[in-house]
Amino acid sequence: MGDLPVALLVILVTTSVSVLLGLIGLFLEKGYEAKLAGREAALGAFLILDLDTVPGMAPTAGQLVSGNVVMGTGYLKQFAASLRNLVGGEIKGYQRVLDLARREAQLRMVEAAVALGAQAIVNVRFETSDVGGAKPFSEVFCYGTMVK
Amino acid sequence: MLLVNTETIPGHTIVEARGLVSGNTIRAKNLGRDIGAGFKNLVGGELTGYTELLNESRQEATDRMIANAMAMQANAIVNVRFTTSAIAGGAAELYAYGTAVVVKPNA
Repeated sequence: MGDLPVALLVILVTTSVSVLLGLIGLFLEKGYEAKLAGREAALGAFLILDLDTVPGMAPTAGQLVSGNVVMGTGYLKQFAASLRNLVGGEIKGYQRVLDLARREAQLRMVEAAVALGAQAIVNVRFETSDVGGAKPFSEVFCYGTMVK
Repeated sequence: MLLVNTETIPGHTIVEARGLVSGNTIRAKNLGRDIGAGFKNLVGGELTGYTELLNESRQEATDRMIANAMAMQANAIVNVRFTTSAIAGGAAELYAYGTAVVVKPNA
């Protein structure tokens, strides 16, 4: 008889903690995205191509540049994804995280190129991979050749 | 050692192609970083421990590729490609490969 209220209490506590963590995660994500947008704006319109050369440009130097990031999705998003997986369809939470990760990796590559005095980056490639292990962490790796 | 992922290096001419070179690393995850990442993953966001780990590993794979190219007396590597694959047991293999060439700068 005393077990039922305890069980309900446990369920209530774990649910509220999960929701709280999720809300904290959402709040942190919004702050992070604002900073990311700020850094992207600071760079201005930097030319990134996945062509071999910049049409009409005759560069005199080139070098490999890259950027990478590993993003965790957060517990609440993982739970939401497992629910979504029951019915199928787009997992918006994961999509958002990977989108941010891709922007971050690309931004790091561009920042590395700008530090070298580049005018553009050609032959840009993206790679997303599972880091390995039980948890769903993804690494986004972005690389290209900076030219000037 | 000059590295690019294009077929040619701007401002240089390829004199000779020496062959395919590659370097790889298999990096198992670090228990301490994994626990830290587990905590961070409660809220989500960047896992800096893992980012650094993979960055170092990729650099090591690249350094091995460069060492192979130097052994061939090449002075540049073109068409560099990277691959990453998760290997069973919580490890990841990072592989870098390219064509080792001898280049000379355009006058």
